[in-house]
This record gives sequence, structure tokens and C-alpha cells, in this order.
Amino acid sequence: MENVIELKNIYKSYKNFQIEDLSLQVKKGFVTGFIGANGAGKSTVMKLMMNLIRPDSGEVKMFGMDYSKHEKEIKKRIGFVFDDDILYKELTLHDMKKLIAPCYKQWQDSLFREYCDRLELPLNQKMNTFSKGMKMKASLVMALSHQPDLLIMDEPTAGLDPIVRRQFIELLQDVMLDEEKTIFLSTHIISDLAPIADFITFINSGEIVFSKALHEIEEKYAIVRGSLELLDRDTEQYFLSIKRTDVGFEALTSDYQQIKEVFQDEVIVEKANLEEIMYYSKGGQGNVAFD
Amino acid sequence: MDILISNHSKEAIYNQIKYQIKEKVFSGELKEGDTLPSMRQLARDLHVSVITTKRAYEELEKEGFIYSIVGKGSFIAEQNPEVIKEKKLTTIEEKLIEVIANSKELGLSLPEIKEWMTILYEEE
Amino acid sequence: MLHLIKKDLVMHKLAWFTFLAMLIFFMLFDKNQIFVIALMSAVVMTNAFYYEEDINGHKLWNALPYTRNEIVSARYSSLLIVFFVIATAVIMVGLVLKNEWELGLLQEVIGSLIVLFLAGAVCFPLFFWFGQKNTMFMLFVIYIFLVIGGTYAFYYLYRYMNQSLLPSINLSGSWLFVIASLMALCMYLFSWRLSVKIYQTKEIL
Repeated sequence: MENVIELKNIYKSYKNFQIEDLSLQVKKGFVTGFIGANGAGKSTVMKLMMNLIRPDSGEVKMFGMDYSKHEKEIKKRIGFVFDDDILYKELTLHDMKKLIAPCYKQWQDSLFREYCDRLELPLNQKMNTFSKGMKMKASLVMALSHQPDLLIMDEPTAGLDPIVRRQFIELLQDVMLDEEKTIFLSTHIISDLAPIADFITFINSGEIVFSKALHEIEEKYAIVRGSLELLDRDTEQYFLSIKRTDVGFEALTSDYQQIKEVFQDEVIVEKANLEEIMYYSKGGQGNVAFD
Repeated sequence: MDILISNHSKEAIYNQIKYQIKEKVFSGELKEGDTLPSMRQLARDLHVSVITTKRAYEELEKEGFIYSIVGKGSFIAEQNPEVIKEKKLTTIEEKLIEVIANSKELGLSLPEIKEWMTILYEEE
Repeated sequence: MLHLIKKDLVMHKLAWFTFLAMLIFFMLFDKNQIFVIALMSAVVMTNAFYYEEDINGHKLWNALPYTRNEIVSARYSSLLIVFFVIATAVIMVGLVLKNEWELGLLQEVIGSLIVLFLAGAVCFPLFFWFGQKNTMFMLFVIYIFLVIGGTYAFYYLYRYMNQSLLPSINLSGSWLFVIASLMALCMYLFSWRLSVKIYQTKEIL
């Protein structure tokens, strides 16, 4: 499968946070969800993809091209939505459009109007009177009206009410009808992703923990509960992270079948959801050794 | 064509899609040459990810129920009655093996399972 | 890039009324043209820089299909355009209000350009380097101060040269203008390159 975004051996260090040897790919034609706790490095990685910051070393390729030579070609094909609103507050949506539209040759005014209608966005109202949900919708409309091949969104759904969130997801699914389109979005509200994400990339403390198809994660990862007596040096190896309490242990595994075979009926095995996977990898860092 | 999926079912969503399309083939609702919705259209309509419908279609294709033409879409394949029967028997066998495995976990004996089966069979 | 310049200058439609009002005010009080042109141009530029910081515009414009070179160059070009617009306006207003073509007006116009070039050459790289919401105000004060101070310095220097220095070394005033303008232009171009370099490594957060 073709990669739209390719980060290779990226190093980037800040005073109290660093990314070391990070590599990741985003596949064309699919929705990739980028998950991780606050401060795990999601925004940093997305800024690297947008060329807002540059890596200390390593390679960033977008559509197979380099920013140093093809900055404009790349950015023409990207639509972006950032978590902080970067719209001009005193402008109306109509004025904002007049500002953004000339930046893109492929801008389609009819599409812009169609989206505004559909999302019930008022054109002649100033941005600073917009609610959080409206601002996000406005950003999305701006990002989509030049029909980008790649949509990069940083926490687009944070703080949105359920109705707007639903509208938002439906719009993205419409975009994905075209197999040339790719979406990369970060979030920490995992339930937003469940209906649309094809792939999940999980980052923790600046490291990519895994990057897999969602169904693969659902099939393989499991939460295991059992009595403490079952744990010894050998059996502990089957788990990625273990939490011990007075009444037993709770652990995360990435091999559902193996646990079933090894422990049979002695433990309770339940499918792990993304939130549990995130929680365990955050809590038991010493124990985490993902493949 | 109706496809109804449940988000709370134990069955994976791609499997639900697969089974329902198969059922429609078995029942004759879908016939040879019928067009299926595109993977992306179906994903949008069901509010599931593209990779889910893609997997369902890929498996249906592998099992010979559908075929795809690049740029045109997916269609119901010609169904050989013998093959269908064979396939159905295989499915039944798989399910029975699963029933037996689950029963063993619970410690149900063979006569107990048989008795249960009889009751259910007559009720249907 | 034209769109970037347009955005800097045309977006503030209301601000231009204020600028025009200021301009007429200064001219009624019979300030020197050099002062009015330089100060007004500096105020317009400050406004453009400030507005971008205020709304986190760096993030927006860098995410749009523009290179950093273009973003910086647009600012440096904007100053030239602003200068021409305001200089023309001053001359026009002068003609209407006073109904006469003052001698020495050309010197004043070129003088203000020299001051603008020099103050911009010093301050623009600083704007691109340290520009943040909290530091911007200090930088603006420095910039405006440089422009105002520059005009007075220029005025007195010019008078001194015309009265005492030039006659003694036998050089005409216009030659001095040409040399000074060229030097200021070089400084401005050098600063332009420097700002591009600075902005290219800037982290847009």
C-alpha cells in the first residue's frame, strides 16, 4: 500500500521532551487515528508533518516529496485543522474565505457553500461570536474546500458536543468515499475514532508504541484478570503490563490466543479497548515491551 | 439491500457484513451478477471504517461469493449449488466444533448437548 | 506572494481610516513631511506585524501553501508599497491643503525612505526572531522610537551637512542623497536575507 506520509528515523529534542528515532507511515486511502496521552508528542509529530518545525535529523516525506524542494506542492494538497483556533476573530466566515480561497488554485466555492449549508454555518457573523463547535466546523470547511488529498487534524473533536461530533464524522466519511483521500487525525477521545479509523498509531513519551489496523488490535489485545498465584517469572512474560492488587492481578496482553492456551479457564480474558491499552501502557511503563 | 449491524455484538463487524451478504446469496435475494455497493459507500452508510468493509469483501471474494473488477465494483459470483452446499456444511461443522469446545469448557456432557439440540431443533 | 502582501495591507480597512485621520492631523500641525511619511509607514507595518502575532497567524500562513521565504519577503515588500502609498498621499494632501508645491519635498520623501530602510533593517529581523505576543510590544516601541529618532537625526544631520560640511568639501546635496539611499537600500536587502534565514529555522508552535 502506498504511503502518503513517511517519517524516517526522526530525532527532535526539547528541554524536557524528546523524540528519538521515530518512524511512522500513513497509508493512502485510509483514516489513521493518532492516539496518545496529553504530552505524548502528538502535536510535535503533526507539526513535523506540516513543516512547522524541523527535525534535528531524519526524513519527512509527504506524497513521496521533500519539504525542502516541494513545500508548495505538498501544502497545496493538504487540508489542516488545528486544535487552537487560528481564524481571524474579527472577520466573518465570508471574509475569512476571501482570505484563504486565493491561496489555493483548486479552491471550489460551490463546495464551500455546500459545506456551510450542510453544517449550518452563518457566513456573515463574526468568528468571535462562534461557539467552539462552529469554529471547528468552520476550520473543517476551510480545510476541505480546496479538495485536499490529505487531511491532517490535531484534536479536532476536543470539546465538541455529540451532535457536532456526529456531523463531523459523517463529513469525514463522505470525504473517504474517494479512495485517493487520506485522513490523519489525533485525538484522546478514543470513542470518536471507533466508527471511522482504519489504522491506529499509538504514541507514548515520544515513541510509537504500535501502528496497526484497528481490527488487528481488537482481535489480539486483551485484558486478563486472575489470582496473584498464577504470576511467576515465566507467566509474567506473556503480559505487556501487569497491575497487582490485594485481590488479584489485571494485565494487558497482545496475544489473546496464547493466553487462552496457557491459562485456559484459570483467568478471565476480555477484549481490550483502546482506552485500556493506553492506560496500561502509561501506568506500567517499566513493564511495557510492545512488539 | 439491507445490512444491519450491531456495535454491541460479540461478532466482529466485518463478519456480520460477511454473513449477511452470504445469507442473501443463499436465500436468492442476491443473484449472480448483482452489483454490491462499493466498499467505501458501504462503510459510510454503515458508519464503519473502510478497512472493515474491505476485509468483509476480500473474504467473500476468497470464498468465491463475489468478484471485483477494478474501477467497476464488486458483483455476486456464479453460485454452484454443490459448492454452496459444501460451504454450508463446512460452516455448520465449524459452528458445531465451537459449540463442543464451549460446552467442554463448561463441563457439559455429550448427552446434555444432544438433549439441548433436540429441544432447540424442535422449537425452530 | 501578492496575496500575502494584500492580506497585510488591505485586510485592515478600518485601520486605514485611522491612518488617514492621523495623516491629516500631522499635516495640519505642519509637521515635516519626512516625519509624517516615516511614522505613518512604520505604524502600518507595526499593525501588520502585531496582527499576525495576535491571532497566531504564523501557524496559519505556514500551513497554507507558502514558503517561509515568501512570508518574510512579503513583509519587506509591503514596506515599500506602504511607503509609496503614504508618500503619494502626503504629497496629494499637501497640494490640496496648502495648494503649493514645496521645494525640498523630494528630499523629504527620500529622507523618510532612508529612515524607513534603516529602522526596518534593524528591527524586522528582530520581529521575526523574537516575535511573540509578550515581546512584540517592546520591539514595536524600539521600532517606532528608531523611526522618530531617525527622522530628527536625519533632519539635523542634513541641515548640518548642507550648511557646514558640504560647501567645504565641495559635494552637492543630491550626491549625498544618492549615496545615503544606496547604503540604506543595501542594509535593507541584507536585513531581508537575514530575516529569511532566521525565519527558516523558526519553530512555529
